[in-house]
Amino acid sequence: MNNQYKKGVVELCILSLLYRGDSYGYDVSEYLTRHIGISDGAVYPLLRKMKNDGLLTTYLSEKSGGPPRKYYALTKTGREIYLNEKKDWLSFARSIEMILEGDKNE
Amino acid sequence: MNKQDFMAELEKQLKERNISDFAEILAEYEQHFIFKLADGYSEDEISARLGHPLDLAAQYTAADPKKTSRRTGIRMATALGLFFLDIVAVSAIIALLAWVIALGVSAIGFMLTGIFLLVDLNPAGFIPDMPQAGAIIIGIAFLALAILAVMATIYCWRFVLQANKAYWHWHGRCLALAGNRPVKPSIAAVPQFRPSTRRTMRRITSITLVVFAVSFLAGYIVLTLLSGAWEFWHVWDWFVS
Repeated sequence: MNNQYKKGVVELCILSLLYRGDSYGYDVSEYLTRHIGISDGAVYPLLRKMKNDGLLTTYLSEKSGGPPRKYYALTKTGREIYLNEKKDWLSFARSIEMILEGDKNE
Repeated sequence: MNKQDFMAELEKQLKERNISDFAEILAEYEQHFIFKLADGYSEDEISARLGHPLDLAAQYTAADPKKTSRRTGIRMATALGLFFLDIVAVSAIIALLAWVIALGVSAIGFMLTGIFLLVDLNPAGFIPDMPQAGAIIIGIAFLALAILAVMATIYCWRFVLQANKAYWHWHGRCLALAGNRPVKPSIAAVPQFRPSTRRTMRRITSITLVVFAVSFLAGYIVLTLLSGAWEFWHVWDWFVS
């Protein structure tokens, strides 16, 4: 799949995954790598950038007696921006779909 | 490439790019290796799938050194400007509130006038004398006017609330932009009604408007006919003290 389509939307997918619940960076990376075929290391720099931009926040959590692990979570602003961009993207995608499906009538 | 060489090269590249939080970044890749190894991949496979450390490091940018004095200057200028703008905005909101109150009071006035006309009362003595037939029709016109004023009051009240909310939201966005923080998306400046509410309000307003126009015209005609003159208010000495 053309790389240009992927670039814009990976951040949106990251926001979507974290909207459902806090995660390790690795879980987000694995899920997206498996589902939309981006490269293994592509997600980590984006997570850091989004954290610097204030969309995400991190915290350490000591679960199951192991070493403290880093969780990513959405900030309040990240949540608002996600819901807004999700709406925009979905309506954009529907329009594109309509245009592309329309060529059947030609 | 094995894990040790990979991590060493990655560390070197990150340091060369002046990335201050390289330790945290490296820890993340450590975790990645640990998980992938547990899934049965080899170190060579994992590093191959990640890509070359040079390419990975290139995706990291040094943390923003934008917290210079110039940035602070922008923040302070914005805050100062906003403070003065706030004074203007709050004054405008207060004026709008006064308008809403005036509208509401007018609605009450119109309603009372309409009722008095219909039942032929004149408590404050401000209603001029006219034949009851005309009074009833004009009374209906005033009641319609009262309903219109109520609709206007409701809309303007919601308008004030939304304008106030939108202003402070915009205020926050300006500060966030100046402080290089994430900016929330903007909100609507006009009141947001539910579609059903909007339809109902529109229907009431248009029907009442027609009732008002018709009754006012009819009342005027009736009073003209009953007085025998186009300017019935002269005939009946309405504005003579």
